[in-house]
Amino acid sequence: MIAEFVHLTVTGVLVASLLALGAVGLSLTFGVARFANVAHPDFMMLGAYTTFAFNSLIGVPLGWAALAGIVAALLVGVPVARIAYDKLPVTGTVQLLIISIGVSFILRHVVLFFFGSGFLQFAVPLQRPYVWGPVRLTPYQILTLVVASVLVLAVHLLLSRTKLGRILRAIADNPVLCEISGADVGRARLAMWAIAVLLASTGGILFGLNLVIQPNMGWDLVIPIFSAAILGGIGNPYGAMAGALVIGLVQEWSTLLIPSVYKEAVAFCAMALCLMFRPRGLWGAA
Amino acid sequence: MTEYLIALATIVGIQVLLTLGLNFHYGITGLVNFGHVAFYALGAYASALLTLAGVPFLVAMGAGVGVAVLASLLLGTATLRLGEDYFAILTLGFSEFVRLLLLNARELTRGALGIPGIPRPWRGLGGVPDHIMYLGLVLIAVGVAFALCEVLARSPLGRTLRAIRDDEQAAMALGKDVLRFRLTSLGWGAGLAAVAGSLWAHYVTYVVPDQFTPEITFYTWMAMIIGGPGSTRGALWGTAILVAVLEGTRFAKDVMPMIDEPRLAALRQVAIGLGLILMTVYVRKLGGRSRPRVAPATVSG
Amino acid sequence: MKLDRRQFLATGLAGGATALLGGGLARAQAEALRIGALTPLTGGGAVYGTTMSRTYTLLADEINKVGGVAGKPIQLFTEDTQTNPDAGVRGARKLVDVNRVHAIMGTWSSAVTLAVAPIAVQARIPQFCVSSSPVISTFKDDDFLYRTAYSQAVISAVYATTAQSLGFKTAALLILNNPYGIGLGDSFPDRFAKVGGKVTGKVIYNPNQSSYRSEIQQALAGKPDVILFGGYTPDGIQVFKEWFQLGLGGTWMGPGFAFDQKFIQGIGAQAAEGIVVVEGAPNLAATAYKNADKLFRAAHNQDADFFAAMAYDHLMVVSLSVLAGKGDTSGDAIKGQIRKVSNPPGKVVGTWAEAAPLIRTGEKVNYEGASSSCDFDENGDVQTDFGVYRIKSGKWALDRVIKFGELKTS
Repeated sequence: MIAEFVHLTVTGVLVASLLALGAVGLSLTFGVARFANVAHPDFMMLGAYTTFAFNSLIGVPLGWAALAGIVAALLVGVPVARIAYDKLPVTGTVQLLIISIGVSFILRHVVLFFFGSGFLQFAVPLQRPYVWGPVRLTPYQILTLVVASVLVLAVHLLLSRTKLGRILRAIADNPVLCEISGADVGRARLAMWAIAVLLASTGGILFGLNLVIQPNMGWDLVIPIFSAAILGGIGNPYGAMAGALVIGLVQEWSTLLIPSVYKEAVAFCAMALCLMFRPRGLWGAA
Repeated sequence: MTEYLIALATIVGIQVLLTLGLNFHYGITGLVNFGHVAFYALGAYASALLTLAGVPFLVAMGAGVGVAVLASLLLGTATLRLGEDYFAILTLGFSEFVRLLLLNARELTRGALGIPGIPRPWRGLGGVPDHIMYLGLVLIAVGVAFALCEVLARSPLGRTLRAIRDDEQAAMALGKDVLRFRLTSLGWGAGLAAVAGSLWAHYVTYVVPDQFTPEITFYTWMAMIIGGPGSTRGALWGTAILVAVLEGTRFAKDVMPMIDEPRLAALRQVAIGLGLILMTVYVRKLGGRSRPRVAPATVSG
Repeated sequence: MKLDRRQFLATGLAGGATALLGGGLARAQAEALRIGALTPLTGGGAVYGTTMSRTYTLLADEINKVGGVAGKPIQLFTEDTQTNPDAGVRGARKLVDVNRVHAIMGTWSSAVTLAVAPIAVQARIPQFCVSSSPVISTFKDDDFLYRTAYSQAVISAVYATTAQSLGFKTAALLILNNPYGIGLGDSFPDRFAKVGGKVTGKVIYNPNQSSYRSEIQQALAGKPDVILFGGYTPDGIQVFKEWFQLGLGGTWMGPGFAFDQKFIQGIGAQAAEGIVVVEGAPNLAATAYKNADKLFRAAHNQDADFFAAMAYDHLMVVSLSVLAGKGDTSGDAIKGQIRKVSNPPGKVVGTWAEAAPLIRTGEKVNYEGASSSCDFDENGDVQTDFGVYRIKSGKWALDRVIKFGELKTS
């Protein structure tokens, strides 16, 4: 029983590390751009596919392919986000939300057009795990945990220690005041999209490293990633990290009590329940 | 061809009911409901299960409406106090939650096996061919729903809902119980969606959870946006155009044979995404009515 | 570019007009065997639908090159079900009402098949599906619904017999939450108990999850000898990968369409070593399969998999039936010929080149399909022998054959 609990906890943390890379970026863009970008998880898919193209099609070793893939995802994702969300003549959050659904449709099916709908894999061998009692982790899974932690820490440092971070936080608090005070909001938003796409595409690559990739992989993550971001208090990147951890753990722990087919529903219920008592999330501005 | 047009008209009619429901939510009241398909699914399943248990069609449909309205009230009570983005994502999650329940409550719904053999009501009555009979039934439902929506939109209720949509603070200041009115709106829209679900279940005679994915919700949003949110009449022709475009693109490949089928299918979805964006940007009614977001700090201050 | 609603209306109407025109064009070409290929080209089943759709095109081209069926060229109308019953219904309506197809083929996933079936039955045209839910056998179809995949009720007996013969005493099930997986989960435990086995764990999983680790752990808690997998290739690779990465024990067993070449490539030959594969037996040796494989390899540089083989069979059976009916393309006529051309007795054939001359001279043929022997029973199901394979060095190696007659399926 304890072994099983430990195992589920490890699984939950693994799931959380992938969710966090999506949820932190989502939360950041929500705070600054003030709308829920449904296409955000599709940036994960984008990173996975660009990496796949370099790795499996061109034959670049995975490490370099991942770097090239992230750059390619930035070159595609950031302009898409800038045009669709910053340049179109719309203002309301609902319009942007609907536009993001359109963007999600387009990204997914453009990838489907070029790569087909089938699952694909990076050219990496299957690994056996290191076994420490009930804890079983492969080298790639450990790499995933490390990369996710490093990136999340980097975002923390960026937000708290740099000028860009201060501007982003200022926009999130009060965009009008920020603009009046002379900050370059346009450039800050560009940086924000770049950070979001960077985090998401890295998450997508780690996902592909451990599992398989499909055009729908981003769409399938919409609800867990949003749950994590909302639970953490949407617009609050720190909360998103914690939210991802809660979602990952609750989802996996729940399988001890109820059939695992309900585990996605459990994540949703956790979020709904939390919002009933804390309408701005666990770590939202209160 | 005639049969195809009859089938299309039936599909359009059922979709119109869905659009009218969503128009009630978003167009009239400003509720960003991204889980519309949940009410559609509940209406379909309740009606299908009850009819197969021997309950008359209209009673079963009524029960479906009851279930959907009840679900909408529960959902609304839990979520309507939250910001509109939260509401949007929560409703989306709710619709997936409902689908998971239908998929896994196997004792009741047969889960992934689905429910085949749902009877069509009044089959062969008066010697009218089945599909024409059913189209008539759908058209009556649309007519009633349309009249109801027009009446409600012009009634004091409709006026209050629009007032809440345009300026929540002012409506509150006038002593309106905003939450209660929003719940009422949610219920009406959910009821219409349930009627659509019931009609769909008895039309295709088979329901399965796979039918009730969020895509239905998004298509309904597109239909409403094309027609112009807030306009009852717009819901009619917005839906007609949507179905014409969705079905019309099927014929594109009869004219464009050089791309292979799977790729063409992908392009079709890209076009749908692009269409959604362009409609949102260039259909003015939607653009002219955005509530300024209030910064979190000021609310909780 | 400001587009107002009036312009949108105009665009919509133009689209509608194109639709009507397209329909008219299709109808003008009356002298053709019109086939509705209704497969998933997007959505969850897209992998299989794409393969099937391509196979229909290849075989239709091959037959058309030698003059078509009884002088009628095969005209394909392809529709995308989007792996969604609603879209499937709309596609089927278009195929039936506008294109006036003589047969529908390729519906994948039992949900889509059962949603489309009432339309085919009402139009009195045959429908060929690749779904495996037992419900399809008993569906009231007026004998218009056929399937080339075997029913889960049959395959469970095969798995049980296989497990017993390989000396496995305990089994765990890892099954996908769809009619096929559920059907397997419902029927296997009893079958296995009848041959003295015990199911120690059964976990149903939802598709497209970001991790299956907890499901795997749960299913394998009883340390079973054999892990019976009831899913498809994509989720199969994911589940297998995570099982492997957990370093847990047990031998895997499952259907050939899940443990196909793509699967073996996906996980690597080394990891796949020893997996038990159960699949319809005769197909690889049949000329039908060899021809399907040749066509598919030439066009797409890939093996013809189980779904390509089934698609090949659908179009072959319908074409042969129309030829045997002297070009009569009505649904009732086709239906009347299906068993005559595909069931014994008769000369065994597998390709159009083999079969057509014989049928023209009035000889009785028995079509031996690419996916199975294609002998349709009274429910429109095929009865097939099964081969049990073990994966050795990345290839299936035949272990033994289980005859349909050996199975106690009732």
